Amino acid sequence: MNPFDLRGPEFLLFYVVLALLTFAALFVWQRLSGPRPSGDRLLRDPYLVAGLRGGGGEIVQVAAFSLLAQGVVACPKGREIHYREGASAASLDPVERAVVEALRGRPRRLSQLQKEPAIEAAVRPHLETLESAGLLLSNRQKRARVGVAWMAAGFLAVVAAIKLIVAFHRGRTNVLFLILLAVLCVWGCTAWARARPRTAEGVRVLADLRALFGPRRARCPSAPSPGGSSDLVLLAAVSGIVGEPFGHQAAQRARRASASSGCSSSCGAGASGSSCGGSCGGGCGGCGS
Amino acid sequence: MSGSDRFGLGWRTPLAEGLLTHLEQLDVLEVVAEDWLVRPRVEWSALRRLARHVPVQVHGVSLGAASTVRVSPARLDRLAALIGYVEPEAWSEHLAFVRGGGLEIGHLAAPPRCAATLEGLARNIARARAVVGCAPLLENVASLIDPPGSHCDETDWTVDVIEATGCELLLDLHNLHANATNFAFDAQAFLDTIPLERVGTIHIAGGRWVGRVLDDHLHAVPDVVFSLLTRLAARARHPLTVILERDGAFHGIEPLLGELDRARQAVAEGRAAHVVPAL
Amino acid sequence: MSSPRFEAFLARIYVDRAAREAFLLDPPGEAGRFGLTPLECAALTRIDRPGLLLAAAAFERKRAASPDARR
Repeated sequence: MNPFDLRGPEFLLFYVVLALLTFAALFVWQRLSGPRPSGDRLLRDPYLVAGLRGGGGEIVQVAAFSLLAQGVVACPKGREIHYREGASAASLDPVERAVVEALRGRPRRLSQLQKEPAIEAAVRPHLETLESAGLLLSNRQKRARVGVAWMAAGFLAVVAAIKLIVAFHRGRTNVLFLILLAVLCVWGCTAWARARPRTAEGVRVLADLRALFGPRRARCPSAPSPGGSSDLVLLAAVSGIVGEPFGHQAAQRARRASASSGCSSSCGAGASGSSCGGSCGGGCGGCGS
Repeated sequence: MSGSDRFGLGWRTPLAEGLLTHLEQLDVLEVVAEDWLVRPRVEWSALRRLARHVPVQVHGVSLGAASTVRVSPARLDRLAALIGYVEPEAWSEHLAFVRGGGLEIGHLAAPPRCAATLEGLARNIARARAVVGCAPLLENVASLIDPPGSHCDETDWTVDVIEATGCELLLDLHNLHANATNFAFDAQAFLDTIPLERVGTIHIAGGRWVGRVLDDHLHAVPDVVFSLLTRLAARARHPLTVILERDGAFHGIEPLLGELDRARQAVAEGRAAHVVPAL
Repeated sequence: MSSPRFEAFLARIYVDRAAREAFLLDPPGEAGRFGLTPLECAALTRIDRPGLLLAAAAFERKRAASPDARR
């Protein structure tokens, strides 16, 4: 049977099924295109974890958080990050050092820091390490992904186009749904191509880390800890940060709350360095009554 | 011998970042089986990944093997599935019963120290060995109540358990201290009597006074436990694995690493004063 | 001595406040009505009462803290 002879509603259903199969094929291709997950790698470097989770931008955010927790920078209004003059910047990671250098003399927003060339240069080795380790797609793999995505998009677009031609030839003009569906599918393919470029191994490594950490996120400590926040930074890298210390939403909440912590008014008011959002993997609980 | 003594911590999710950041300072990690049995199976890969980087022991708390009642086959199967997938270096359970007559006690209850319990324990351990593929280490439990129906003391009981099951002991020194205090027997004499070569792993922990010593794992390890550790290390001829248990009231990882250092020191002192046990 | 019924009785008085209070008022009676043997009843008559109360409280705290975890 020729699918292009199907009536409108039946063809739409056929097209939806075809699109779902195409997306499934993209998913399977992604899973099969890289090396099989070995299950061995355990990432413990916060900047590698951040890079795996959110790319270069996340590395910069985690670096800024680390500096905030150490008291090297401040973000009083939840927007611009200030370097604190006189703060100890002795033993900093290269990304942290690049952030500090960018902040000397003028405050910057996180989004500006994330585009700063010197900081991008400091971030790049982390991303290259992740690519070499087979956790992020290499440039060649990314190009292949884009190529496959465009092939899938082209296939779905051609199928829709053929049906449109057949429909117009038969005097049918109610083709809006098909056009919208085709546009959505093409967008979906290109979105898949642009998605976080983790390999199957990278997906598994990150998922396992999140399973080990549970549903907790890092909260800025109430008092800066110069040179001693590596645990907290790892939590921030794995799970994200509570309170959006660099976001305008946090500043608005801080103004409404009119409470300030030792860290800054935009940080959450927790006294400890981590917030426990759910079950906490409670352990044995004492081996006896 | 003494160069192979190992020291580790219990894995607790609130300590995850500290444990991973300081993994080089840990020779072994212990995970509570039930913390993972309640999770989707797909998350077990996290534990397996961890076990590929540091020796892991799986510690069960709800089997209730020290009982005249047969342990649940379903529980054993699920535990076996976890252990089979994670491939820890060892697994352990408690000399306790945890349920009876359809009621869940809520925690580990010291069983009557008698022949019937011993027979039931031996049957359950044989079953566990067959299902899991290897026998567990068995941990002595602390108790606030002198177990009713008991016919022997804790020292003889422990010796009998080792003989009847063929298992190694997971000797919890705080539990030993708690029971010795609560029921007036000599913990040091206990150490001098049990076959120390059958001690596979050692737990140290802290507790508090509630009218008797309660082993709650929420407090620092008391000096008396370190003293027991030193005494044990002085008499043991084989490498020891010492695991610090802490379940809450965390103040970061550093205090726990400090306690672990103290445990290392206690063992070193014992090794230096090595005593040949009397025949 | 021990048996499945003995363990069941222990679990009951550890967990059930009303059962525990009834037991403490009449240990041999409650144990006998539960179907325990004379030897088991005698053992329970000698039970460590302060320990029983402390243990029951500790078990209750544990159940309250994690009602269904690990089961």
